[in-house]
Amino acid sequence: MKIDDDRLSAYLDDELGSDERAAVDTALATDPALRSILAELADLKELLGRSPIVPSAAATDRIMAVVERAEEPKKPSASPVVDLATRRRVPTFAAVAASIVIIASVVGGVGGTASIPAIGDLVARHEAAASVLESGAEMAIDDDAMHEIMDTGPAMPTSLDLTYADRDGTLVHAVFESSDGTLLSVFRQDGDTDLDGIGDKMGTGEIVDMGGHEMWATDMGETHVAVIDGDGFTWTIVGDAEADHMMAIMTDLPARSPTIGDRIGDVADVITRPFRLGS
Amino acid sequence: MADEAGRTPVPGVPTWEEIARDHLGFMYSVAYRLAGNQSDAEDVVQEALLRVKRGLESYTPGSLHGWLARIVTNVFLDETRRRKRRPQTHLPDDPDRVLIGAPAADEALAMESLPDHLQAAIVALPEEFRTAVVLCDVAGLSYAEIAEQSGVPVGTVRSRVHRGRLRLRDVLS
Repeated sequence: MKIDDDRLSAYLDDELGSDERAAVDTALATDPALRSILAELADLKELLGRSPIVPSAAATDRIMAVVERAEEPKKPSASPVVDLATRRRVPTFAAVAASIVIIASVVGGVGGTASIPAIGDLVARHEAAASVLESGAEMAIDDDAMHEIMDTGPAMPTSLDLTYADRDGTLVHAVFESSDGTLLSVFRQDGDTDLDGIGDKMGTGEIVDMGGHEMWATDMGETHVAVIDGDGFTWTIVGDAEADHMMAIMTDLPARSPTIGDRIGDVADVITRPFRLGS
Repeated sequence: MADEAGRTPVPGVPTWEEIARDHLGFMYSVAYRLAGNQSDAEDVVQEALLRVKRGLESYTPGSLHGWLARIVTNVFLDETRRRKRRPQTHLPDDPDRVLIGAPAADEALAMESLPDHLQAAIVALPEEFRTAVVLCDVAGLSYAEIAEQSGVPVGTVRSRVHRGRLRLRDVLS
């Protein structure tokens, strides 16, 4: 019996049937080196098993405090979930880069984002914003559902859902599945953006003109990303189709779903505005 | 008698308060061995406790530690996958967390640590080996329980446990 025979560990863990156990016993009886290895594995198992880590009182208090805060009833948002009138400008590149990462996670994941610097603050802010939304509120899903989507990939059953917005409407995210199965994740946020900077940082993509507005687009394997620089706002679109196709879908969005206006108010108009400039 | 949330205790099913009081240490040990540091272990346990609270009604009396270990492991794996997709630099959102840094004296005393190089070797194990070894040796789960948690055959668990241990043995020797 060789050292890499996994029956050794199973023997140690009492996970063998009688025949295999007898075979190991026989091998151990004739091989002192094997007995030595088994003894070392037993020592390791014993060491791991008898070394519990007891959280200190301070750590316990921190854990319980966070849990109890999370369990407190969430207060309704003081302002409308989407309130474009009160939007403020936010950082540009970092914000867009964060959008790409977040949306890409929702849509199914994008590789090669490790080079995006300093996005943690905005990602944290997005999550904090999502977590304070009143559970079940219109135009919002709770934090657990958001994470579930991030974990399982595209699973939105409806044609268009605004998944979340922060309290002052700065950040708006919608997921849209077209009739041909193309899945789009659209993220809108305030602030102009430096598309050249994105291209430089990401090291990929190209910038194209689309009716007076510039768009940076790139192909990340099965996922395509487009960032459009609007007038004081920026869209990031992630989908599983070419950028042209994604834009065609977005342009046609209001016609496809007349209830969109009722559901997300002027956000739908804002989201689709740049796509209609060139038409 | 109903608990604080108004639920009537079910025989053999602990209340959430009992789990938080009596099994926090177990959950923390598993989380720490998987995550390798205090801050991440706390985050994992916090989320795990929330999931325990939400999922307690679906718990059927059996191996409580097995159930808790699965939840802790799932939280850890979820967080690991999330970080892989969203590389990020955490900014502390709680002022208290800024002050954590090195463990306070009482916290250091509270840890009966493995040798540093062994804990580091655990964290360096491939995820599937690490999970198998921790669930087996720290959480005390059977191969069948680990297989159920991991969604792999028992034979795969056996192989992962052994290969993981051999790598740790190399560090110790």
